[in-house]
Amino acid sequence: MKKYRFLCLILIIACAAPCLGGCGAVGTKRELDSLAIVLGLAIDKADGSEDVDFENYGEESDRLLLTAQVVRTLATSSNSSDSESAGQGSDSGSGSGSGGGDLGNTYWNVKTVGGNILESLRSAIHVTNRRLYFAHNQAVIISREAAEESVAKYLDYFFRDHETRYDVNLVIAEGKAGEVLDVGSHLEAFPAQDLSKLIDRQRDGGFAPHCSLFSFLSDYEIPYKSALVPYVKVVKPDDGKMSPYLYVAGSAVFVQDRMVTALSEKQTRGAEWLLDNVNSGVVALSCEGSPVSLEIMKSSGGFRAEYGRDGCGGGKIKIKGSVRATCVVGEYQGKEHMDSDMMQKLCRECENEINKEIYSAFYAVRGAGSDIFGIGEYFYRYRPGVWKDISRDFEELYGNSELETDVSVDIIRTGSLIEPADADGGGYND
Amino acid sequence: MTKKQFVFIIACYIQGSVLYTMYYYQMIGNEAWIAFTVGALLGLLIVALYGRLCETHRSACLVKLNEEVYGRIPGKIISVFYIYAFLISCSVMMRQTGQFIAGDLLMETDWLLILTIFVLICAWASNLGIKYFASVAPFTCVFMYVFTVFLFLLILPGVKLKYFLPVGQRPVSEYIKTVGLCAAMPFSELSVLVILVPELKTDNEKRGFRKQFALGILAGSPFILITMLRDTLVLGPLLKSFSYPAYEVIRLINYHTLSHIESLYGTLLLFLLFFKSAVLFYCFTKAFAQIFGCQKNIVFTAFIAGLTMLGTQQIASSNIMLIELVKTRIIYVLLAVQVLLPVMTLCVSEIRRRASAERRAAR
Repeated sequence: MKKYRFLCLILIIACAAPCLGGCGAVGTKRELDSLAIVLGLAIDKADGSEDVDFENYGEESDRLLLTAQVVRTLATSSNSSDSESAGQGSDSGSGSGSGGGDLGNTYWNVKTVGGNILESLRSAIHVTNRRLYFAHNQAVIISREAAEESVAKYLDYFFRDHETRYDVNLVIAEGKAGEVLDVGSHLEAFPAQDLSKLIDRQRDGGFAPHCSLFSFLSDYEIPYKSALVPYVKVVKPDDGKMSPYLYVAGSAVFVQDRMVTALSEKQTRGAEWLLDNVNSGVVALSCEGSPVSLEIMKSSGGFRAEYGRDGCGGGKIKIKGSVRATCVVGEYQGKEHMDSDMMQKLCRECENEINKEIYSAFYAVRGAGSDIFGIGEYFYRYRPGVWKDISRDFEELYGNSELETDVSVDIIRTGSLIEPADADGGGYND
Repeated sequence: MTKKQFVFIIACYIQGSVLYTMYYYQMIGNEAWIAFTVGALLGLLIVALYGRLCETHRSACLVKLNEEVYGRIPGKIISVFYIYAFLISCSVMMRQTGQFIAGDLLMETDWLLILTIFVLICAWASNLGIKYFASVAPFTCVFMYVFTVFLFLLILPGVKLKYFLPVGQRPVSEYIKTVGLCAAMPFSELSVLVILVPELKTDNEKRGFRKQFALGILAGSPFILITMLRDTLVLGPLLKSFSYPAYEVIRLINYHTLSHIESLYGTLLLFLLFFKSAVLFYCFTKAFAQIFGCQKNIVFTAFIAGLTMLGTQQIASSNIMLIELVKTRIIYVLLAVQVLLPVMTLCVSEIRRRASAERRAAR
């Protein structure tokens, strides 16, 4: 009996295992060489001038141009030069910034056009012999033109599909998003990888925010809350001697899921102070005419919001922001001695500088009607009774809101020097 | 089966209901954990109700109890209602598990094939008897707690306490309905485990099964609660957006080399789902056999397997339909059969007992 049961067990496992693993059916198993690993995806509005021409669903005006940066697992230089000399047909993707026909790169930017994301990506099978694999995608880049229309509808595919990840970086490109993936990296093998690391590196400065697909959609679902998304530009030096490079600084400001304006680097950091996202960086200021740089060791920021009735029967929102920063003197190009008075002056100057950044950011986003700080969310979560009264008129109230800040800076060290290098104009020379 | 093993079986049974959290979130969002806590307390009352019922009738077998209270034929008819509720629970469980595996674990495999193999494996496990479940339950229960706490620690950077708020801003009817849903699924489903009570070793253990059920609820509910707290604090406003929030939240873990860990979590979750489905299947088959006055055997197992397959396919045509069905119909069916019916049975039993006591006193 035991033997019979054992045999039955073996039979069931033998029948079930291939079916469950999907190994039996043709085309269901996926080996590494059957995958086109995508490292970056760029989304642009198609303007009809693309090389690719697929029959796709949708109106011309709604068409998207997707650029997927695919890893080329083939051997590079010698093999590619052999295949070039043998001659090959044209391909619809380019592997380098200069465009067309260069098979020496480690990546291939596959361009597809379609009415929506999934349709466009599936139509890549017209030009690739492998299915695009998104589990290792590191960045989703959306052009400013597309972002000014809507972003949330493009994110549906990334959340609905089982392969895509939610913690992928979301970036807005100033020009064409596909161009960003064409910019060869000076330090990395793949532009998408370079961009992803560049965005992660912004934590050291606070001049660009960090935004993933998940955080963008979370902010979008919260009443009135808007996201702050890093902004990337392709810089092409005029002299032509240096190759183009990516510049990540500043941010794109959204209202709901439409981009409305862009913040400069300092404005972005001003917003990040209040959002408690500044962990490191440098505050450059001038103290008594001398340039000083203070290095931020740690900071904490936040705000409280109050709603009060004014004398005329209306209401006003007052926002009280507070920032605490701990800094060390990174560089001082002055001649003054470092005493406690000097340190106090540096603290005051730093506080003024931070205040300027915060107010500049606040007025810019308030003017654009964007609630990136989450003032509406504050009332929604912590003052639900007040939120019931003001939710209908929140946009108008926010547009007239006032900000008060309480910034406090402590300078705890002066580095390895106590006196500046240029103290008293140098020593006496006899 | 010892009483400690029985406690762990109950705990694992509750742990296997972790995918039910998506229904709670659909109804009440970030306050689902509060409704679940209240539902767990109501679950203790439901268990006390069954305990009281079984104390008055020492057979401690649900089918025989109904026959003793209502009479032979009406008792069997009442028991058919219980069988119907068990079939609903089994079908929802299998459907949900099949959809989860087909949608998130084995995307390339046909859903029907997954369901067939899952049902066959549950049938085979149930044929081995309760000893198998009793032996794996303690380790499974403890291991799942350890692993869940570990995952919570990994996802700690994504936790935002503000997602607990706001609280108490919804209509009262939503809270009541969600508490009802939590009480129905999974706590009223524990009634199916009353079928296992005769398998306890000693008569003392059989009499004191109320305490074991209570301990089982206290041992299993924190697992669901921890999962719900984790989902609420991480997913926040996206709680209602995902099909399986308890699984999707794990996809956000990206800590040095620990990423893409959801495949491991999915496998462990699958074992929990299998445990609950198999225990449910076992009790369902046994209850069905008792209606015919027979012992559970391979014929009944095969019949129930076929009935479950049919029920699972017919209950809903898609995951959206299943969510709508659970929210609008199944909750009422389960509460009516597994809560109201025992209350009615207890009342009838008390009336009959008093009537017969009066008759004896009159003589």
